[in-house]
Amino acid sequence: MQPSVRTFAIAFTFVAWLPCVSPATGRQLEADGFELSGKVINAATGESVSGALVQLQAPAGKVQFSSTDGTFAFTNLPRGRYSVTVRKPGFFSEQELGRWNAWMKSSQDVPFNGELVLKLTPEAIIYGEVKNENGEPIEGVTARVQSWQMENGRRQLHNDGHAVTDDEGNFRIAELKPGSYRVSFVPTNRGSWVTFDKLSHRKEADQGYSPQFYPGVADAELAAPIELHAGAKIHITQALSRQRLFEVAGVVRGANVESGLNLMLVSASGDMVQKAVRINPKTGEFQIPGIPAGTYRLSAMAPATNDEATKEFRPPLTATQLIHLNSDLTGVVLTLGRGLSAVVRVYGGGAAPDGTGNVPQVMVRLISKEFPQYSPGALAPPRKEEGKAVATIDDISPGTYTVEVYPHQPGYIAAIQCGSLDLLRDELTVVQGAALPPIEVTLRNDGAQLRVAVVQNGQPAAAAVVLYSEEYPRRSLLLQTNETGTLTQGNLPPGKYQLAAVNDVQDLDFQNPISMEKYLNHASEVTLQPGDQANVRVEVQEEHQ
Amino acid sequence: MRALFLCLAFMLATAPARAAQQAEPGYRISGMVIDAVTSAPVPRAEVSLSAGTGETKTTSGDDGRFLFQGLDAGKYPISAGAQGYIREGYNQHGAFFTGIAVGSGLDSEHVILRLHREAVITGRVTDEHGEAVRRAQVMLFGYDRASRSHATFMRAQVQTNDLGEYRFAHLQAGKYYVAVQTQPWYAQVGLSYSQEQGQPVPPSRSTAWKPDTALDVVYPITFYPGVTQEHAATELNLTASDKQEANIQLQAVPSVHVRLTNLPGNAENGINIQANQRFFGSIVVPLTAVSGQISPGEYEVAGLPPGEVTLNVSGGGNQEWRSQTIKANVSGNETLDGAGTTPIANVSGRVIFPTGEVISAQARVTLLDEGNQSASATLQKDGTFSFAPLQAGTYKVSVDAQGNNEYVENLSATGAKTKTSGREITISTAGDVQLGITMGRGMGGVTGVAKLDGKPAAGMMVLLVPASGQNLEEDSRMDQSDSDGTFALARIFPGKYLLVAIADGWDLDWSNGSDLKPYLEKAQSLQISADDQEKVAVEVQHKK
Repeated sequence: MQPSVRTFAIAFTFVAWLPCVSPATGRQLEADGFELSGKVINAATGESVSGALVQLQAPAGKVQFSSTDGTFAFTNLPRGRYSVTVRKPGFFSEQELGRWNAWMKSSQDVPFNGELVLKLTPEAIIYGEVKNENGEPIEGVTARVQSWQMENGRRQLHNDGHAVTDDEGNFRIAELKPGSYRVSFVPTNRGSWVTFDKLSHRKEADQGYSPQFYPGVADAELAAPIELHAGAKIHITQALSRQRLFEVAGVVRGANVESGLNLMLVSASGDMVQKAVRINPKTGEFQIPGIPAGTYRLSAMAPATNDEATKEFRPPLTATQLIHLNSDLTGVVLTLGRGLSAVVRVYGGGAAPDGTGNVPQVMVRLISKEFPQYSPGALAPPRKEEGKAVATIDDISPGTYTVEVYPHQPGYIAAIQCGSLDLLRDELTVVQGAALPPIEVTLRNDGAQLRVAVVQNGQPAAAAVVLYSEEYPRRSLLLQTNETGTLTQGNLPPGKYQLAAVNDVQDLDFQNPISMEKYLNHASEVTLQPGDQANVRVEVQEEHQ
Repeated sequence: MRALFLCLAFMLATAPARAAQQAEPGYRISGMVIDAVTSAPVPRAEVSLSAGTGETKTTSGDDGRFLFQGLDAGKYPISAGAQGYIREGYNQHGAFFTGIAVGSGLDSEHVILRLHREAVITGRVTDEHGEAVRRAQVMLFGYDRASRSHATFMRAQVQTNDLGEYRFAHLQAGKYYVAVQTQPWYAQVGLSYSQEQGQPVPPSRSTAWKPDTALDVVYPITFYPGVTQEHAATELNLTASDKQEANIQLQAVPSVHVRLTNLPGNAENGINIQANQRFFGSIVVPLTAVSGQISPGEYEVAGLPPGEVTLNVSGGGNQEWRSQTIKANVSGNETLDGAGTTPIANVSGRVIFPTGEVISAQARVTLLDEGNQSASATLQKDGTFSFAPLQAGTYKVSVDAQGNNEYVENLSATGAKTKTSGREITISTAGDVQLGITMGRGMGGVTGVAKLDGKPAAGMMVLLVPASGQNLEEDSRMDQSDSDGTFALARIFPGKYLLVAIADGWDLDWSNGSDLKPYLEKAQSLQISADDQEKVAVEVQHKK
């Protein structure tokens, strides 16, 4: 082996001297002290960033602050592979932006033949003031910035930041990543709970401010998106005008109010809107004044009690009603009781439905259509060893739901049936007093595997891929390729799919046939049989208007 | 009248204002809202009245006038607020204000509500490079004119935004201090000792990865204009409608590492070390610090700023709550004796209740030290108690026996060198202390009328102080006379007292004996016995 070592040694020495010639900085200063230098730049403007903390991790910890022209230099570094991070308040690093190749790029070999360029993306800021109809500032309004994100396999409004207006009505929300946002304004809620024996008799109309989405609508879906590019500073003036506020009054039955009762009005965005609740503990009559027009979920809950004397355990009791408020509402009756229950049965394990034997475990969730924050669910079966593939979801409020099932082991959901309803496609309507047929989930493990290669202009490209199912749109998936533009997905339910590769997926409601229509015209198609291993090539679709 | 909470008006449920159109049976409260300085009427001010079933609100007209009607006879707290003004109760002084007495023969129709324009303090926090510091905690310290001891207290806290800016609004005229507590964004503070194979390794020999020493820095709590000592801080003197700017620049300094030795080595649940700093005598601000065990009985505390710090070391099993307070002026790398140099005393004793008293299961005896740290012990059924070992010092004794009408009447102590004074015990040396606590039952009350030149006077400061001059802070009672001149003092410990009423006495530092002395000559002498309710008339003295 000697000759090859010598060759290697010679080649190495030769190579080691090369960097001296280049203008960059991989010079060998001593036996094992190398220099690593570079520049920190603003990813949006290309300008240099001073005062950023550049840190080398293993094997040795070293730090440098970038100088006024953004440059930095580490000296005396032993040879090796270093993890390099850079950060500064008011900026996002590549890792923080979740770029798929960020983690790979953050490793740096030393010696290095060149200038290390580190990018920081400047934060975006939304600021402004909230005024009333007289042009006077309103204090104490929560300005909230949200964006549609994928969470738990669902498209949900995610909170990205908030601020409360000061005495001049000003608010300022920083540290926003580039993206598409919705801004809402919610007046303060000093919720209080008061027990009165006498309910008040109103003589004058109540007025106040109601929550709004920019530019001035009540519904999140109608809110105008605010597009923020890196480093954007957007100014908003929001005028809130006084509106009539209404009262919800009625009676709660079946509860011992004194031992504890929770009464709340929740809006579709998940906020509790009541400012004050008056309740007569003896009769259960209640009044909730000061509520703006809108749709709410009124719910009463008496917590579980453990009677010390009789050792009796009383489970929690609930009552819920959907309320559409556009004038004073009286005569509401909330009868506390155990809510509706749904039995869940799981079948599966082999290629054929089987009620016994190998018991798979799945998570079943009922997502309320009117109140997406409300999603009762259960793990079925609760314990695997029990051998009974059954679980119960209790205390379900009346309303309309979509049912989602997540398997806890490899496989796919072949069917979800409730009586004659195909819950993979249909919605489940729960009505007070009407018993629900059992929800039957069939799990199979003969899914197909799909390998997708994405190209753009003939070259492999990283992109997001929508795997759309026309038959069952809610089965559609949003997937991400790796840096070489490929992805593999297994356990796919057999069927026909359309594939669309896109670059900008924020705000894309990929399970909605209407939103997907323009992409499906140019989509690739694939039909998967049980156990298939398919390969598909997909071309990136350009931006559609 | 005394408010239960400072923001009484906000705590109750709202009920809409009553219709102003039709005249209703019942009494009326009416008047005008004016600017306290210019006397100009304040239009569109929100005036609130607190009644038994809630709060009633109305808005003043363009002439500043307001009206409430249909009221039952009684006393009503009333407050008003408007944009740019501080929300105030009628003639408010700290927690006290004048309530409006309504009924036959009483004039409640010429109420002048004076509002003061609010003052504002704004500023910007920057670091040593001149860059904005975001999310820094800015603290506002101020006096409460009507509180018992005129002590400075923390009035508000806000965080700076991305520009390093902060804003304190709705401020009354007065004296304020501003301080900032935060850590450098780039700081990576860690313990310098690490463990290898169960043995502690000092920083010089450790091969474990540690952050660069350039990042082992902290910001000490910094006062405007940029000092770390409170006595060097600039006092902001605000008048009504004042807007002052207080910018603060922070300087990073190397973190102090303290090695604590002589701690119990066998603590079951480990040792918990909390660091804090004290300002203005009694305000305790917790510090973020990192601590970890070096070896049994030895701990390291890192991330401390240089200067005077207090370390509260506590640990032991569940039954024993043992704590040690170590005060030191630290810098660089220091070693401190965790056992402290203060002598340790074992305090136990007995509480004697008035006859027939049943001791509830949750009854406790509490000792409060000068740093506002408390230690407590459960009361056994026979009235005995026993504390975990305590440091020598001065403690205020209180007993919470779940009843509401009891108070500590007398203390007696034997054993190690001790001294009792009123409800305080001072332990000077180490050893065992037997503490006897005698409880009295039945607090008294005083109601009456404050009269100026023979006529009932509203808004007067009425003060009851112990004749002995002892325990002024704890035993005195204060009230502000309402619109009919009446006042009420409650929960008075039986004893001998002096009662005075002073017009405009709100700025007096009455906890200071000498300030009060000139008024005591004309004070009324009262003997309050258990459950006594005295009714008096007191002559108002003018401010001397």
